[in-house]
Amino acid sequence: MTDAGFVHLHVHSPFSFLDGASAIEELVRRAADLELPALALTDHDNLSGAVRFVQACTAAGIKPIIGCELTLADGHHLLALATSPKGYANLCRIVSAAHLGNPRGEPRAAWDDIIRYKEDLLFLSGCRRGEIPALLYQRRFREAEAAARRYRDMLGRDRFLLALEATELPGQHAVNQALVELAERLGLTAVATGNVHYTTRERHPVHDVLRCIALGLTVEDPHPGRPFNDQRYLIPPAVMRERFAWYPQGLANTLAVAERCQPALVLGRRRHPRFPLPPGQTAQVLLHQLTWSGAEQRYGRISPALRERISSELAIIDQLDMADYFLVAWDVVQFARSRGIRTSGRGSAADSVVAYCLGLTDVDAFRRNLRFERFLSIERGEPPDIDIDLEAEHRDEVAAYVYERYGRDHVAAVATYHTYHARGALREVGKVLGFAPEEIDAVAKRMPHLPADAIERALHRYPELRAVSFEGPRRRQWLALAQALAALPRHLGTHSSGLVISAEPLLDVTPLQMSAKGVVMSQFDKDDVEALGLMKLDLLFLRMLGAVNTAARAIQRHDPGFDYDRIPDDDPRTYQRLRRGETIGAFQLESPAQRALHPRLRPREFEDIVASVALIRPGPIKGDMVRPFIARRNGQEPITYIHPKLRPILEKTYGVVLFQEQVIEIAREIAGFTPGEADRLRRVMSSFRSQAEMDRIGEQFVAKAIAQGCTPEQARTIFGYIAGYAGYGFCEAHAASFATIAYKTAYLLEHYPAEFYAALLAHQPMGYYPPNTLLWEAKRRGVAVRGPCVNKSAPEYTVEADRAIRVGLRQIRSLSAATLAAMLDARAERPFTSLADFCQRVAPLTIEEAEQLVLAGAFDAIHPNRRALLWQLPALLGDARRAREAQRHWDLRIEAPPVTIEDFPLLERDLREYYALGVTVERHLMQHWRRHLRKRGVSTCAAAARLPHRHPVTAAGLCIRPHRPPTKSGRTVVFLTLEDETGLIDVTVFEDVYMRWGDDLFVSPLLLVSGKIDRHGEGVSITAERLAPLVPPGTLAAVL
Amino acid sequence: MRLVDAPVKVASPGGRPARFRWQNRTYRIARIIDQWSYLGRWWAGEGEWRFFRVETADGGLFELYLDVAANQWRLYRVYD
Repeated sequence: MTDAGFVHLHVHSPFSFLDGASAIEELVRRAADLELPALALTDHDNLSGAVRFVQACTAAGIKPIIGCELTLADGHHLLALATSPKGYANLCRIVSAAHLGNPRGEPRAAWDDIIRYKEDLLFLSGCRRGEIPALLYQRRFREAEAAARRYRDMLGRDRFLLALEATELPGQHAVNQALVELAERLGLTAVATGNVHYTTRERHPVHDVLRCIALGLTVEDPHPGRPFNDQRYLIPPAVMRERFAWYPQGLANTLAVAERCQPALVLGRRRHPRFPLPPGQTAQVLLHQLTWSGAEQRYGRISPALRERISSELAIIDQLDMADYFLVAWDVVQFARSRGIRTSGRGSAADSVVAYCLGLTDVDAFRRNLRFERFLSIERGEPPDIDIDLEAEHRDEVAAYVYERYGRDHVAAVATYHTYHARGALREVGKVLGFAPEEIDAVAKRMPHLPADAIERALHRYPELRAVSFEGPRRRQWLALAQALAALPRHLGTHSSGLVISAEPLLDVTPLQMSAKGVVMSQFDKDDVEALGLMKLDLLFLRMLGAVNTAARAIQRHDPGFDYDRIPDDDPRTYQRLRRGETIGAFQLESPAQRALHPRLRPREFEDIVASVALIRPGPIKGDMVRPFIARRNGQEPITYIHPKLRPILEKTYGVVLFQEQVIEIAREIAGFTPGEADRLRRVMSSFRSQAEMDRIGEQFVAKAIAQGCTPEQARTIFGYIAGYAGYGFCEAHAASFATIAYKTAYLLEHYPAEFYAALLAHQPMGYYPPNTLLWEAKRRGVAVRGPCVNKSAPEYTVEADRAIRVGLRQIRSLSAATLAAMLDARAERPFTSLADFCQRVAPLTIEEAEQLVLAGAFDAIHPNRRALLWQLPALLGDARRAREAQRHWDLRIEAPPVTIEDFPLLERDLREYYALGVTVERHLMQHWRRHLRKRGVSTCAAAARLPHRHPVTAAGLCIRPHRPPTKSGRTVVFLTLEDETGLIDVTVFEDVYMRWGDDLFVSPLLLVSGKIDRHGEGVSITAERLAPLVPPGTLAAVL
Repeated sequence: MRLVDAPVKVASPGGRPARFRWQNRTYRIARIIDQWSYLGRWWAGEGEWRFFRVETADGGLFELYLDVAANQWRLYRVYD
């Protein structure tokens, strides 16, 4: 051991959730600076930080000690440290039982479990919340000694240690002395500890704020759960020596503990499950059989080239022993299909012909000449990433099958950490510091979605934050503390799609706990489970797949021959629609950028759709690939290659770098990168975080390209393509996979708008536009839309016999599932005849539910005056309740008291409808301002779209999805869509206009835009010169 | 026990109190019984107070603290 002569054995990271204020990496770095030979991690009741702790310690050359601060059944604390992999597995079992055997969020470790699994664990008596120290603080010495004897006898003399603390609390010194006396009397070892919750004393306020958040306090509220002082830092060994000058053995004993703790968490060992096979069968043989029979179905005739490709893929899979992995995924897809659940493979799995033959993907990697190495390579040797999209509403059904298939002790959901972003950090810190709710709202509502540590920079960058001030000491403190929460995990959640499957019982590898949605989940996130060598299967839910199924069923009611899977792939009307950019609702093709692209790209075949899906991504946009691609595709610019080796790589994309695979191939062909180097390049690009890292790989690329025969200029230019692409781009396989759904949904949009829009509305939230925009787009397409009706609406949006869309009841705000079910039951007996009849026959029914039903227009067919119905409600509900309580069913004929009152003014009626329903059915909200706008010469969106290029224009509308995507220049450009009763028009706001007029842009539901018309092919947009809220901000805040 | 919270002069070689003067009398500290650190209302600019519970040579029991930021000693409590 080193000169430090001490090791911290009681350390909390942010994974103690709201009780740790320094990142694991910072704790480890500080420990390395202090030359500590080892460091323990002892978060509260979980091991979530263990994997990254081991990784950080290994990188820093420090020995990691994995442990946990357990909360016992009586609330006392007990520290446990693992001395071996067996100890780690035992700790996983104790922690899991503590979670799974108690209400969620209240883990309690049971003594029975601790005793059963105590092997290869060391236990420390804990902080002042440990039973023994707590008794000593209360000067109950005899009871403390009895407890210590009990612990010693249950755990074993060699496993139980008494922990002295150096956190400078009142009475602590006497307690420490008493603990040493106890140790001597009972033959136990006493160790000196801190109680670390952050690196240095300066982080104490952050820790205190976190505790206040956890306890729901402001800083002015005293509470024993808050830190007393700033001594929970990583106390340097020299200070520990001073504090334990009276008992140096306590320090030396920590080194002995560290010696006993051998590596407990082994990373990188493969723990993939074995696919359950029939007797005598091997996974390899079965995979080969399934692949070849799938190939026959997919291709019919297997050419020699195809045979060679499949054989080579299978050989790599065999060599890497990944057959089971493919079979597990195949089995899941088989199950889904057997239940009629639509699936679609995404990601790099579509680079594999084997995956295509197995039905995991629908992209023909052989015909598209996609490289298998991107999916799986011998050099990388990493498990492949098979992501399966499923209909959202059936995703859990498929997940349940996986649990059953591999055993509940071998499958769990993957965790995810929710970390602080700017808005949440400002809200929570503001509350703790005692700011008024309205002050907090005024700041948080204007804050863009940013990491918490970017707030200060954002203040100078975004005009909507001009109204936000952090002047004065209190507000500066608010800002500083909110920023300090950046990247700290707030709580553990369930990953939406990831399942972990293990060959060995999961409890040997990961602690488990219950998620909020009631599934068992690992305490590790997706990166951690991969580092642990577990198999991760992503079962994603894609709402569009559900919408497609719903639409197909509705279409088949009047067109029984319709088959989604046999939609013709060359439908001229669909391509015409794409070229007009009229694709609101189409999967991946509906955003303003996509709708602006298509009139210029003029798609006429499927490959154009693949390209467009890949083009509108941050990588190609920032790399300035869009304009050259369009020009070359349309023959307006010659296709050139800066180096002849680029031709075969970029030929199919007209010499432009469009797909991730092309970047990799360029690196290999031009610079001779090994597959490993090329993969590193891909990772640097796809999670572009460090310019320095990109520069380093650029130097390597240029040097190697020159060595391969490029001129320096060529090498630098080609790397420029790659560096420009950095950020996020699609791989071709993924783009092709999405393009298939994109084309088919555009087909549905063209031929079956009522069914498709109804299905989209029924499966919200999904896609780019809010429901109101979709509903009005359907109306503009000539589809009749009818409001909700207590007698006629189904729970979801439906298409009625005359192909009109009927709004579903589930859209109504506050309507509970129980009330909806009661409504449907009562209606099945006979239709409702009045509001009184409804109140009598539907229970449970709250006044809030009844009000929202009225305001949504669900009673319009019975009584059109919504305000009059609202007046009647309290009396009707009261009478109905009293009658039910008296069980006087025979005289329940309550009559509505006559109310003579005028209905709401139309604007108020529509605003209330919008609040209740999220849409307006009869009138578009903009119609209320139309007369006024016409007088001021303000165009409708449709009229604006007819104006010639560069024509001045002023238009107004609902401000839809204002956003700031990355741009090539790095300057801020805001894109938004204006929507009114006539249609939509996209608006581009360049930085100078945004900075001058953008104060209220992100908080104004209704916007007035002046500028010039910009025509590009058949596309049209407004380039803004001036912006203003149509109504003062906040006027409609409660509704819009 | 009486709350005093008044400034006192303290001789503190090596940062540990050895003598203090209060009400025109000098008290020699025979033993430091306990010591702890308290961080006050940090959000209002208060810093660390370093407390010492001491027994004087004549058997008195006192609590002193050093306001670290102000470098000022105060007598906090007297145990009568």
